[in-house]
Amino acid sequence: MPFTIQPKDIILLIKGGFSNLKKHQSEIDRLNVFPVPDGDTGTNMVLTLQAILEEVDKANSADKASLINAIIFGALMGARGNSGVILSQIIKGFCDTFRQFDTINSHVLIDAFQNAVRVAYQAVRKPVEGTMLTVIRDAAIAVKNLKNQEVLIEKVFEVALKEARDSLLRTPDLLPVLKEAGVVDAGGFGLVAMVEGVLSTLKKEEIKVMSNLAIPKVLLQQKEESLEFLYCTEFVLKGEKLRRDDLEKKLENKGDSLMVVWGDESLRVHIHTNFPGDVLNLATSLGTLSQIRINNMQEQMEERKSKLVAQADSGVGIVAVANGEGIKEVLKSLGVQRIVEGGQTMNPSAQELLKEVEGCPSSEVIILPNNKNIILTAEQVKTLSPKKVYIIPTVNVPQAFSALVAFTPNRSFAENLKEMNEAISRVKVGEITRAVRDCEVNGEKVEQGKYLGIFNGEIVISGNSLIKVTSELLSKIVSDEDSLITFLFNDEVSDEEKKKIKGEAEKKFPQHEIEMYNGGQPLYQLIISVE
Amino acid sequence: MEKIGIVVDSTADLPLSFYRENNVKMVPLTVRFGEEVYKDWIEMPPSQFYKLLKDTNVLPKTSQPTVAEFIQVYQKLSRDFSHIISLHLSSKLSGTVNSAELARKEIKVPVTIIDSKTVSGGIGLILKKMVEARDEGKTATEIINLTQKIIEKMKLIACLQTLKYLEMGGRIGKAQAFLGSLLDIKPFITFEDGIVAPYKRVRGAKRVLRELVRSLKEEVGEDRPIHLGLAHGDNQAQLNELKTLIEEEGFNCLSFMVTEIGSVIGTYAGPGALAIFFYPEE
Repeated sequence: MPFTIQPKDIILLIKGGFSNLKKHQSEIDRLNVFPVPDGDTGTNMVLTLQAILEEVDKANSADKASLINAIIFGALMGARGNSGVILSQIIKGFCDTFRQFDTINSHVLIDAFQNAVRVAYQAVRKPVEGTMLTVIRDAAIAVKNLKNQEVLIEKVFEVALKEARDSLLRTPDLLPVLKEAGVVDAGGFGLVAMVEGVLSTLKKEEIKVMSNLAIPKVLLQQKEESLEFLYCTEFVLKGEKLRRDDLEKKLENKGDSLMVVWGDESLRVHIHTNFPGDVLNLATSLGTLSQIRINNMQEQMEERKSKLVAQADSGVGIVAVANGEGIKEVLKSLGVQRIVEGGQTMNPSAQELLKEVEGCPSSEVIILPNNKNIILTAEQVKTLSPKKVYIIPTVNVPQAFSALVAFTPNRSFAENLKEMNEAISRVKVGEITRAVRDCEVNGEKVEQGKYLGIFNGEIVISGNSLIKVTSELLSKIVSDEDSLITFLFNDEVSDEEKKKIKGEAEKKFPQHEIEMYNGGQPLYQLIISVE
Repeated sequence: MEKIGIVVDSTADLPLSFYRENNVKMVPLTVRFGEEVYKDWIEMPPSQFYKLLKDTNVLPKTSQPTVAEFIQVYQKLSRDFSHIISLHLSSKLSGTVNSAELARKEIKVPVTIIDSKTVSGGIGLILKKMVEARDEGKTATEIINLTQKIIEKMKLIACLQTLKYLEMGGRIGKAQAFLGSLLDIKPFITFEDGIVAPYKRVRGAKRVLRELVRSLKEEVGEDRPIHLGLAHGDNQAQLNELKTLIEEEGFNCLSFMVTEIGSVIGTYAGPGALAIFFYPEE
């Protein structure tokens, strides 16, 4: 474990950062909503680092000065987009400090962090918080605390990574557009990925892949937004007596996201504008241009949006009819995206079902009606919706559970339908409710308020004790081939009753597994499934 | 004449005696509990691993072998062998293949690195076939081709007690879709192109074994000859039951082996895992 880094190690560390950044490239692209949601932040950062590595390959890696020059040169020449330019300046900041010392120990590294922040902030005309800039600054502040200690290089990166991650998570609080989209800052994410890569290289440990911080699903529903400035314009300007602030002033009113940064005897310019021609004309009067790139951001945005839609489309939407908080929660946890309130006493309209079907982002939707009186209504939705709608004819909640458990996302749609239909035929369901008025069951008088045990839609047992009725109902349903009994209870069942019901069932069916969940369903004290 | 040296990493999850008896060089990955680092299988046999996992309540971390370790092994073998074949766990899950690739460039004799795209018993089954082929006097090219064919056909179905370890270890892959269920569900996973993918979900611990056998039957079909491996993570009792059920079902097994899931793979599979590995014979 090193207290110092050798010049040749710098390459290794950049490579480590690069490889982890590359792993997350597409994820970062998808996060990109600021300053323009054109979904190329990850790609830009990767290409920037790639350019550095290419320059480094050409240089003499044994000679520190030429190595550092190669890195800075590569960063400047290869920088792409907002994020690429800021990243290149961060790297330049590090290198400018490294250049001044023969060995790089933790003190030098900590200074380099501070310098990186300075250089990066200088590069941006109007620094915005909640971006990569904030993340690197917070990390730099955190490592400053190690200044008076003798620490390992990796310790510095460890502290930086921890703070960078925290800072990243705070970016939506600083930048409202991120919060609206439900994402963290893409460039900040990229920076964190790089630091992770550097640290794992130092520690020679496998990279712990950063979990999805947030996928901007919201983007799909986002209303059409018009771009104030259409063209992302970039170029490198070479010439004598170039002045950065001079050029900045001249370009300031031509658009936004302006960045003008210094490299060796040349300026790299990035601006979003409606008049790229004017910008280039102005620049030509000051020097010679190279690496001109003009992108239509509207096109980029549309391309990206269609990609996102295609992605969401690969999924299947599931809509279920249910009531009872517990049941709804379980359904959602098993993959139901939208729930229509309803059931035995309240059958939803086709309109209500249609609304939720349309609300699913996918073009194929499965409906679980969970009641025999709702199946027909659901069938109607098929003709009303332009989407492909399939009904799994579930007549109760336990069947929906079984159908959902049988659903596996990466299987084909047809296979899933087959598995789900098979699954619902394997579950037997009993229910217990109270008689709402005096009635007659199988020739016997049953008074209002007594418990009724229902199996296959018929009242098969009645009595005053919930426990006894449950136990007798179970005897009529359970066979030796079954192995799992599930109780869904509601608030009318007391804790003591639950305990007794479970105890009885365990005694009676010792070979079976017994599970109990709070379904919260109205009317039925218990819904029992046996499979 | 060609002399072929075979290298594998510890995630083949075969006992150390296998490597000794079959003249295979095994390079261990490492597993770390807090500050303590152990070599998979060599310093940390499965039984000890699952005990430690239970007792310490620490989430272990794993590391690939270093480039230097591979260089050392390859260099030593290059004195006696004219071609080295090095078989490793899925490159999508570990940097082991990477380390081996970097080391390969430093070696004078040809070294072929093979990404098994699988783990544990899957590598074990492949390795057994490689050893057989070498002992039959097959050439390196023949062995490599044969191995690639098996890799394409290799299947895995595993039942985990929980997805927690895969998730915390950052290896959950597409099986993420199975997270979050409020019902008590046993997730079955498989591998797709070297990463973890969901296979099916099963309710009720007691139905797990029957479902595993049913899944195997569906995959294999009637009487197709297969090579079969079973593995378990500290779950000998259920493995025995599973074995009995499979025997009763009467599969046409050309070869059969039972192994334990070692510490590195166990770090992600968690305790109690059951796995079936198989590939059909042509």
